[in-house]
Amino acid sequence: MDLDLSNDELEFREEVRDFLHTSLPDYVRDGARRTPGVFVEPDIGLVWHRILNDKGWVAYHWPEDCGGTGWTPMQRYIFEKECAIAGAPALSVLGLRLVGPVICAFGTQEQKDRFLPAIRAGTDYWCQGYSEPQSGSDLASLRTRARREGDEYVVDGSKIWTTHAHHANWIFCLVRTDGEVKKQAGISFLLIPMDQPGVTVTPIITMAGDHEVNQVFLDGARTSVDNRIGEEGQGWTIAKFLLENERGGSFHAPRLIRAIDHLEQLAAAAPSGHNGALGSDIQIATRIARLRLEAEALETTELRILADIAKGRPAGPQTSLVKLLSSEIHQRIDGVAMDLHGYDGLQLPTVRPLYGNEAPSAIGDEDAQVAAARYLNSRAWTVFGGSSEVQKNIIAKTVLRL
Amino acid sequence: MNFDLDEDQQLTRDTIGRFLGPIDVAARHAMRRGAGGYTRARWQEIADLGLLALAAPEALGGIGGTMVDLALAAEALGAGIAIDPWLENGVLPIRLAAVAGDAALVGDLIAGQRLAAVAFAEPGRRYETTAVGTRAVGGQIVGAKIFVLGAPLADILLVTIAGDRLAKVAPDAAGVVRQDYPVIDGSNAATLDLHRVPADICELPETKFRRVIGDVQTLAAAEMLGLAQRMFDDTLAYVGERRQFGAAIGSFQALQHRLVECYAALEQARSMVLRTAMLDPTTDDANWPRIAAGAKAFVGEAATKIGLEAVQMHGGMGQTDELAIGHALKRVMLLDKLFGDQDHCLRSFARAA
Repeated sequence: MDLDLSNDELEFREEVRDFLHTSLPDYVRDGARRTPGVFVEPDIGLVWHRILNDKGWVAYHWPEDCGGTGWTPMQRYIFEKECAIAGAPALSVLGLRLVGPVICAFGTQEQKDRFLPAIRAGTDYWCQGYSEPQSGSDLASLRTRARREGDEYVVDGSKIWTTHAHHANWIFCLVRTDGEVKKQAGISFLLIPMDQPGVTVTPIITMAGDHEVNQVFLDGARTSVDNRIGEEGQGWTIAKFLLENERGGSFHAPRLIRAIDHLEQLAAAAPSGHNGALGSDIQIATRIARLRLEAEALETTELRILADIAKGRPAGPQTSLVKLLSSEIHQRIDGVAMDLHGYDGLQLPTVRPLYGNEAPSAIGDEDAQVAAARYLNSRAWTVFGGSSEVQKNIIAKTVLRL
Repeated sequence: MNFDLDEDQQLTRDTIGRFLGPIDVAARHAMRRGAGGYTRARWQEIADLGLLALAAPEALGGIGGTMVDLALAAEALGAGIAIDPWLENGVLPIRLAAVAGDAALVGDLIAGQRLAAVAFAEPGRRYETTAVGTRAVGGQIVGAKIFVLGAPLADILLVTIAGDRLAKVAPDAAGVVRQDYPVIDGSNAATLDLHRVPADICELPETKFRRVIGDVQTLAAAEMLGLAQRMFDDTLAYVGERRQFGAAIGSFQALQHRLVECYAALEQARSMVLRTAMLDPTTDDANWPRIAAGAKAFVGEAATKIGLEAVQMHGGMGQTDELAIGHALKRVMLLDKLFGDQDHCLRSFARAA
């Protein structure tokens, strides 16, 4: 039992470090740092996406015959950890992590040829049509209907919490193609172009003042039958595959640990108001220390899962465990950050973005400007991709066999 | 990177499991009622299994187990709710004797010929480990010690004294006033008053002592992990069997979600123990104490939470002395405070960060 990297892995790490050092633009790093939302906007994210694509590294977790890199799980981990340390933005998961792997696994060759290159190039931008106003945690109860009309499906219904729908030119949707069978069995997985009269996007502004999510109305929206992934009625199987990827596709601990490093730096610089720095306040110091232990343990938990995957054992429900833990650590980090900034942490700018030449000037420390918005947006971590309560149901059923 | 057990580790774990299997709650009660609450015959078996030699370097006749080897042994002892004071009367004195360079004593200890108790705590000093009130005066020891685990069983006392030194004291030496008392896991400890006690004194450099404390903290965490796993497994089995309101109580979501939280805490605790044990060879003396303290605080919190939930979910039965979980919880409570409780250890971890 050991944590050692092999010589090849150490060499690979050097290669990744060199690449990040020379290729990650400062303004992209700065934009990521000053984004209060859960996801970076395309003006930052796509820049980095295309740099990675030019290097051949953007879809590193895809199968090699779909444009992946053929990296081992350990190489993926090293790459993600180095990206986190360098402050690179987390890319939109919608194309690369969600629909991309679905098309790799369930798509026809024609579908792969049509969609995968455009995801890698960043020329198609995707959003996800899963949740509906009446179908949140109970996803299988979804009511958006698709009926066949010749070579097309005609889709009616509404999707909600649709991240970046206002930037997207494609949406992947779970739709009901059969209302007569058990609710899971009547679902299909469709790809629908956004640029058509039957698709309307309405913004939903979060309590932080950010526009990340939307409601999407589908009123006679049309898509070719060729844009159905898998068979009719196979949508639920695909949906579960996708959700496991969403929950467990990437490593969380490196970013959490980096955020905790940053908290420590903030605390060391922040005045306590009486004597010395806030970082010397034992109450603050132990709160941060407690978070560090949790995040470091999570890193090892993720490595244990990685070791299983490398041995060909499926990760399965372990992804729910990581999702449950990482989302809560994330929220607690944002809570401590909020507290470190004192009164300055209560500023809530009404304009976006908070980076670039048009950005409003911060009151006090630059990080204080995003603290409140980030704290508020961070509530979404324990809701999206299956709420913490849903994750607990999954673990209770599949791991604990209750 | 690799998380698999090697053959020796697997063998040690299985051996410990077989050794502990027969000691059910009734056997435990019976042994605790006997003189000293433990037997030297059983300690000899621990020695014969090689579990004491595992903690000593090869140069001093030991097996030279790595921290991972030791942590896996500690975890297995925890999972079997061992009645044996392997950590406090085995690993701790063996490592102190090794640090002090006393090969003869190490040899006696790992052979089970002698059993040592370590006097490291002083009245009014809580968890501080730098001896101040116990000191050598003209080659004789004066002062007082508390919480000397296993002292009633010991045939040698290792007493930390001011000036970073260690005194080897015979329990029946003139001037030793010992007050034995039962502690929470059913074992026995003692307070010591030392009135000009003759002793054999050697150096115990502070950094080396702190490294040993870090080792013991890490292994306390590992034993708590095993205990937590056992309490969790017993509880999971119980909620599947116990029926109320016409259903197994494990079918109720109120309990399911709490069990998942326990499971998550358990997996995180396991990760922390493995991580810490694997870090040992690459960690210098200055950093080891804080890493080990952090690990113990973290695992102690998880094991305490799991233990208290186990008791609660067992309902009335959980309150009794007849279930294994109560005995496991009491051992967790002792280990959680050994060389510092969660607050103390977390402060050590944070302060040095």
